[in-house]
Amino acid sequence: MRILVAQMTRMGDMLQTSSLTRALRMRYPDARITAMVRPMARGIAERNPDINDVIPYEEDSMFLDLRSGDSERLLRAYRTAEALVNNLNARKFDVIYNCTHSIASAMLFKMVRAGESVGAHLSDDWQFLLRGRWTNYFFTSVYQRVYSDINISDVFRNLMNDAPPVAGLNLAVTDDDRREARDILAQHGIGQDESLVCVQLGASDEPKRWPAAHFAELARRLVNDRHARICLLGVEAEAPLGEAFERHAPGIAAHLFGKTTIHQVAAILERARLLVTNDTGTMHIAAAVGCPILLLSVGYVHFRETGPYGEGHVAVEQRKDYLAPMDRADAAREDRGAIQPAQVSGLLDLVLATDRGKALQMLAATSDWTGLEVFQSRFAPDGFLEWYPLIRRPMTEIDLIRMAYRNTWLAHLCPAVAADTLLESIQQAATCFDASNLETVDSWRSHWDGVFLQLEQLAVKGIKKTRELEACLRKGKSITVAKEIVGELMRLDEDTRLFAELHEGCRPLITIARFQRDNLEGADPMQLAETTLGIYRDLSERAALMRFHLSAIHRALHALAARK
Amino acid sequence: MKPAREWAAELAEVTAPPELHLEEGRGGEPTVRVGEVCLHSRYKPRDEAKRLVDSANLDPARPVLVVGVGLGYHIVELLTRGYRVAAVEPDRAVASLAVQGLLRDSEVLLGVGDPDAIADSPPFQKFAGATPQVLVHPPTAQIHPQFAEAMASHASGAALRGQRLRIAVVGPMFGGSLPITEYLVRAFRMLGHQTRHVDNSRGWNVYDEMAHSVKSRKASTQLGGLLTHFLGEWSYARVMEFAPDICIVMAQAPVSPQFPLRLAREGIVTAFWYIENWRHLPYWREIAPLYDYFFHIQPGPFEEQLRQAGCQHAACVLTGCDPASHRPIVLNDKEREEFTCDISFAGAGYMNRNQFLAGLTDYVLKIWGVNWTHPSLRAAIQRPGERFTSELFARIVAGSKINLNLHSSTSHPGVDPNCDAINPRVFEIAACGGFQLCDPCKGLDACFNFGTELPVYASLKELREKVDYYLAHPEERGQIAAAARERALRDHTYEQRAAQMLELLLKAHGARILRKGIRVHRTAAEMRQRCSADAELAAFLDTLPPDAVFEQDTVNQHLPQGLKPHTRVEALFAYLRELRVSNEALLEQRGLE
Repeated sequence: MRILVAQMTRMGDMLQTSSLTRALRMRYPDARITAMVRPMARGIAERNPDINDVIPYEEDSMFLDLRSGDSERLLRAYRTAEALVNNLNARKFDVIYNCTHSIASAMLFKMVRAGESVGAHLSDDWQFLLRGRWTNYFFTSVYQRVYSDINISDVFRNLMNDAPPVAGLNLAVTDDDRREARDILAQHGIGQDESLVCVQLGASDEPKRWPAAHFAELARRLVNDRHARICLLGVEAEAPLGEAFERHAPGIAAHLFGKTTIHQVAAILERARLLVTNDTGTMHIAAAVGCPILLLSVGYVHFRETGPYGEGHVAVEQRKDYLAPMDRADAAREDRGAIQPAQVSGLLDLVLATDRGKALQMLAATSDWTGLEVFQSRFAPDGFLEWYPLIRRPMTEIDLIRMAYRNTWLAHLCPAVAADTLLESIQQAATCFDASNLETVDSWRSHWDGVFLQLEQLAVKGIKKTRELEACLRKGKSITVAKEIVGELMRLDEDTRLFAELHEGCRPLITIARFQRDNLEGADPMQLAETTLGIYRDLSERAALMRFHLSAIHRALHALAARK
Repeated sequence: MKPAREWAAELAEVTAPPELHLEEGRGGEPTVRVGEVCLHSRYKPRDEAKRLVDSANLDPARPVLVVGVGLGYHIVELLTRGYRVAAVEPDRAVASLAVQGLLRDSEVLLGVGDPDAIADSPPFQKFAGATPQVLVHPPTAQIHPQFAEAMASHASGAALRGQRLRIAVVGPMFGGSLPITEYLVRAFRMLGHQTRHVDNSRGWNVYDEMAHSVKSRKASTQLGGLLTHFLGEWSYARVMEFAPDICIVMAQAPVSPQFPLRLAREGIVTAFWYIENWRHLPYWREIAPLYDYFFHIQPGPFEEQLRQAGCQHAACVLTGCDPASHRPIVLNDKEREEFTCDISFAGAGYMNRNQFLAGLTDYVLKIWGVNWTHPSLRAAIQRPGERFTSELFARIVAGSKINLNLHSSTSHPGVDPNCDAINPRVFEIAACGGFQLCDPCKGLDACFNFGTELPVYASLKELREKVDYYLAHPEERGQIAAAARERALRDHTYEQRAAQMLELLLKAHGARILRKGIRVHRTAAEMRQRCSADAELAAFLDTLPPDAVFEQDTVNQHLPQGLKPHTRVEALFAYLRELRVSNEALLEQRGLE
């Protein structure tokens, strides 16, 4: 079997896609798995033991050629694209997983003949569409990230049907890498047996950065209290952050900005006791080599989606009590320094504990954690990564809805996961909350149960109307009648859209249904009607599942309260 | 010029001169010393070569011409990095060491010896045609500075010859240089260059309306300054978006003195065409040193003044004629009634002209233009207060038996004996096929033959004698007019002026343009010929206008918009279109534009 995994975005995304390549290898041990990646991610792909070979995707050089305004370079860009398509066609892939999801990637793969294509694609008349149930989820989850509780590596993994669970990300480190890492650290006076802590000061965007001064204060504590050796990782452009760090903690860190290759960074992290980091690509490298991670989740970072994929990592964020999702503008106004170094320092034992892969260790709800939320990552019984709150507190409305969504998506998009297993996941998650606000939770449950029931009823109307349309088409009734029914369906769509405006908690379901509608493929009216029927059925089932899971969560909290 | 391996036998016989020493470096790798100059580091020549290549900031997509081979460390470094390389070396003994050492068996094209001979060779011409970047080996340049300069000049000359350049011409709001701007733009286009007219003429209506609506002189001056500033910034934005190789700023263009400096930072070669009288309008003193080239229309003392002002490159480029605008026309009956006369004058009423023409009112005299104030000329003025276009000018010339030309002067009555700024009218009248009598401005005798093409006069008396003569000799008038037109079209078109400017600019600054890299512009027809073996692509190229430049905008216009492509070629170009759009959107989102 010949499989192409196309991940043409960033280095971190390629790492996060290693969950898919792992799952594919587990399912198809003899398959030839090819990765198509940008040059920046080539080093990652080549060290993935599940990948047989790598095709470089030279989008940057094509873009520069196109931008040059030079006739010869335009021809060169054309030839590069043509050669790529010819190469892909020559390899006769049985299946292509397009993890890139851009229109350009869809256009590229439209020109490639393959047995099956999952992800962004084009219809026969070159309209953009998404193939695969999890692809639709991936596209729509960005609009409602506050309710999204599924790590992107799990989403990628589930691009294949019935994907087996995997233990984490995948990146091989060689002995040469280790030797080079030793030499680099030795050049900075860090010996092999010393306790090494790595720090990543940078992030792709300023609102996502914990202040360098705070990192410096934390590093000072690590040095004074734990005799740690500190090294600062990052690219050369991040060196000014190192200078800011140095002003607050002079002489305690080795600055490695721009001085290491990706493989050397991986080897350094493999040997390190801990990485303290913002949400960055370095974090994913650390996750892939098993380095414990302490993630400062500031700004608009959604660690549940993009956090390190593996067990025992800790994420810290400022407590947020609002329902609305945080956008970049909000993030810019947030006090990124609200998480105090002393608070983070108090978490180090947790993340450094040798048994961190085992039972969750809850933190005492003291004033030390005022304004803070702390989470630890585990694979739930259903095989998906979950972030469990370590500071036991009452469940919020967002927690309730988010948990319900998690299990609804898993139930609907992963039929292989047994219902009992999902209930087990709910029960495990519920243990992290205190049940002191059961009445309030019940009122929320009751309210949202009513809301999702109404949504279910709207979906049932859609089912009935679509069946009417099918019957009309089958019986060859007049086009006028068919148009009237279509008009009614459109009005129902509008009602559903309005419903989402009024009940924000429903938006994830309605958004994905609308996406599915917008991605209808084909021109045959009967086929379209059948697909539309499926969309309404999905909506109805998902709304029912939301009601089911809201109740299950409530019952779990009750059981918890009863045990106490 | 030939592959390095082919030089081995020829150069093996070369005897090293006494000042050349091959030495073993302290790191074990050889270096060579010529006199006191070491061609490579004694310690780590390969690291030094890496640093040289790193610091050159070379574009990996373009070939590299290395000036100065040494022992070849930097050439090997370039080859390792995947560059296409050719090299030139003045010293046969040094070249011999290289081809016996690091460049043994190498296919790198190598030219040795005389720079002119190297430049004349077909392999050099072909390599240069690929617009290579020039990397000068500093120690070689230290020993052979003239060779290095000559090779750089040859490289840019050969590379840029026949290439389509991108040229922006920034025009004024108003005035005599406005039509000349249009003629110059057309001329560059006729020469095959992609040319953008940065047109500021629409600013004039705003300025004029503003000036009439505001009584306060202080306020209107302030507002005028703001408008000029706005037009200057707008001009800058348009030039930057067009990203030309060369930007020519016309006299009176509303740009600040900083304008050329801002463009120079982006690698754009700048020129100013000062088509004024330097004695009357002294602003040249401030701006001339700021441009890469300063063109003017007054040879002689002005050039010394420019040098003293710090202007590095200046040249006299006269105005001329635009054959598309300045051509003989046949008048209809109504036009004949309006335009027929013995003597015409078309132009502004400067002091000397007002005074001089008052001595011709006994002829059938018709005057066109503004600022004619002499009372005795009132009856001669046609269409009072109206400025004339080139269309109207051609009619004026067609109707006049004699077209009078008198260079303006604000200081001297009648014929100014010191006049040295040849006006455009000389060439325009000639190109329109008119018979002209002109005052003998300095330098005019090099442009036209005073006997057979352009009779001249030095006083009113002399003028009147010639008017009487030529009114009585229409055939001779016709012959002289025809000869003048032939001369104007042969030697004095704007196309020739444009070519002259380009030759001067490329000679002085071609290396800079080459370093930045020019965009190669081929027409669809040329690409069709290049790609004739690819039937699918050729068929697509056949759908493009043959003279259109093969660039993405042209291609995109011929793709189905938003619909399914019909062919694989269309699909590939549609993909490239989306790739560019999405990446540019991302850059803009990140504020990186």
